[in-house]
Amino acid sequence: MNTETELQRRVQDFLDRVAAHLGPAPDDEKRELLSDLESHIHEALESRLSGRKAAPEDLQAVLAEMDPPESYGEPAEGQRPAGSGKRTLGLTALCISLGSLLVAMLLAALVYILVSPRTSGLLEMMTWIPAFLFFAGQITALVLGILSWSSPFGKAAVITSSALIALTVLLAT
Amino acid sequence: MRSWVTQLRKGLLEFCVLNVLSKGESYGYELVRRLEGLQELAITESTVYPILNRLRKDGYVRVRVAVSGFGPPRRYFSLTALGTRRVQEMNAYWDDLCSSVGTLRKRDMKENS
Repeated sequence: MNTETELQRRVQDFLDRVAAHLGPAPDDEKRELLSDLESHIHEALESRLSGRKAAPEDLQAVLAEMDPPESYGEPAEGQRPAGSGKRTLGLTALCISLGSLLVAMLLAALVYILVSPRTSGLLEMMTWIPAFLFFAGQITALVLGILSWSSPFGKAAVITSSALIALTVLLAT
Repeated sequence: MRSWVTQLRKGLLEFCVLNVLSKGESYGYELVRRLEGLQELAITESTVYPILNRLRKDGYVRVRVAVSGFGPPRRYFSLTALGTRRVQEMNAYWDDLCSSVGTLRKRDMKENS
């Protein structure tokens, strides 16, 4: 394979990787963007060469200076609100904390109705299910809350789940 | 602070692209290099090309294709009449905004001193 073919293959490979990240944009917009990028690569390559023939290392250097293909699939810098991922994670943690409390309380009430003093065995074991769900939910919320501490929801999740765990342990002992 | 800066940069991207084109037509690579020179704005090709295509679609920018000495044809971008009006309006608003914020900051500094 000669150098020129190899360079073309690498340019096409880069463009294919960009195209794979472009998402649901109309085809003509994708074509225009890829055409602009192809021109950009050639212009950048030419500006490095000052007359000499391009080598694969030159193209490698040009591509290394450009934004990675993945950046074309995300909103441009700043378009995604900073910390939105943490906010979502924090909100999820808070929902898990409060949700597991609610589910555990409902299940506890159900188990209390179903398990009469005379029943034993399998049904009696069900009394542990609400407690297990409650603690599993609170610990998950606590971990997710710590991971998203920088968001207000993360802080709220950590405080809520810690307070609920502490309160439950205090009441149980 | 970082979030505020990125939001501000985002709002200024289109403004900067239109202002560069108000000085005359330019092709993609040249335009990106000129904008990359504004280091505070951290503008790169992955933000410029989508904006150029959107501006063209919205009728603010037109494209002229010309043969290049190397590689694929160059696409030259220039402002339409609508684009020229748009950048004039944006510049006027920017001047007013800077003046208002400047006045506010001076007044606050006087009150604090």
